Amino acid sequence: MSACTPHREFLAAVADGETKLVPAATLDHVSDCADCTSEIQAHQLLTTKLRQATQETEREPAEPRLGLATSGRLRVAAVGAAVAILVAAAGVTWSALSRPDPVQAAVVASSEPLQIQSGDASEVGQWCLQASGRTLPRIRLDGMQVVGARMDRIASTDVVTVVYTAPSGARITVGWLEGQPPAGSGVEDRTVSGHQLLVVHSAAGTAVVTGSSADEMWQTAAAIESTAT
Amino acid sequence: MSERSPEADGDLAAQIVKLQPRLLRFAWSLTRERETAEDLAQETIARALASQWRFQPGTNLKAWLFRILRNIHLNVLRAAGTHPPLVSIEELVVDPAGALEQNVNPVEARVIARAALIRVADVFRTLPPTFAIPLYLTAVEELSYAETASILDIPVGTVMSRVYRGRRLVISRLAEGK
Repeated sequence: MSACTPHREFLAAVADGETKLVPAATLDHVSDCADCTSEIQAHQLLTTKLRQATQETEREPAEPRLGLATSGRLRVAAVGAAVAILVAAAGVTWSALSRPDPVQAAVVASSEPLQIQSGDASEVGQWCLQASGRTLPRIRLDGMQVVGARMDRIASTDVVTVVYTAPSGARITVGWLEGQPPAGSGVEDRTVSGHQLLVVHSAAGTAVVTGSSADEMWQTAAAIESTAT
Repeated sequence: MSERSPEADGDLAAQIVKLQPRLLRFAWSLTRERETAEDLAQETIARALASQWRFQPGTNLKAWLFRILRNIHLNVLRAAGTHPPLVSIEELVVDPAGALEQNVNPVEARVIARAALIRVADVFRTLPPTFAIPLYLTAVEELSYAETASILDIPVGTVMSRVYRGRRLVISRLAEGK
């Protein structure tokens, strides 16, 4: 039996932030155990993928069936909801056509030259603070080395782009969008102008992750999504 | 009991109806039959609209609706003379493919990162409901362990254990290519 064995069944709870349910001994162990930390990240990544997979694959049964023996009030409410959804969809479409897409802005920024080059995360963070006037969220990216950053204002959207080198040597960029209020949590897998990217909605804000390694993009997205503030 | 204004009732009704797709997904995860799931979701909305006064403002509406839905599901099963599927001894006791003896290894971690979403969904659908439902409620619906325990009427510790085992099963099945 390894030192991890008695703590293993609590790792999902740690990954889900349910630490009130986890014994203090397990939290102590996890803080010093690379294997358990790695497993927690695996649980978080799997949660992100499960959520995304469910959204992708179970859209089909979402349409209400109105022909059942239900109350008239329910039918009216359901029709009202359907109308509301259509109105909301029309609003989103209009908004997309009439304003520059901040995700597109982040993709453009990700391929532009760096304005600061430094391997010192605190130096890059300080530069971002001065350039954008906001403190970037602290995210824990194991094995990722910061390379530098740039700040862009495209139309009315401020994008702070931070570039990292992954352990594999892949280049990963994280573009933080200003003025994008946290909209729940989740990761959207998109292709924009031929670039595969992940849009991460988290408590820390909205970020666009691009890069040359899908694996490391997903790991980065999971780390951002699990960042509380 | 506090009075609730008609406006507040209207807002609540709209919120209830808006959650129909989530109810349908949860119903599907319980029944695995589309038509039964649709009936279950509709009936849940009808009952919730009829008993809005029971909902306590400030608590989780989705969790309240899911609990109603599960109770209706259990009542339907009882009326039909059937029982919810029992948890097999193998499911609870047997360590799936020895997966719980070790932490997730680097190969498994890479498999998760590389797995296509459709593959993750396919593997998730192979899970026994015992594990799939708590995992669905916590991971996909983002309900707390306590809310999930309340919906399923099981102890919080059981939720924790089933979520963990459910995830490990998904990971091991992804790695095995099942």
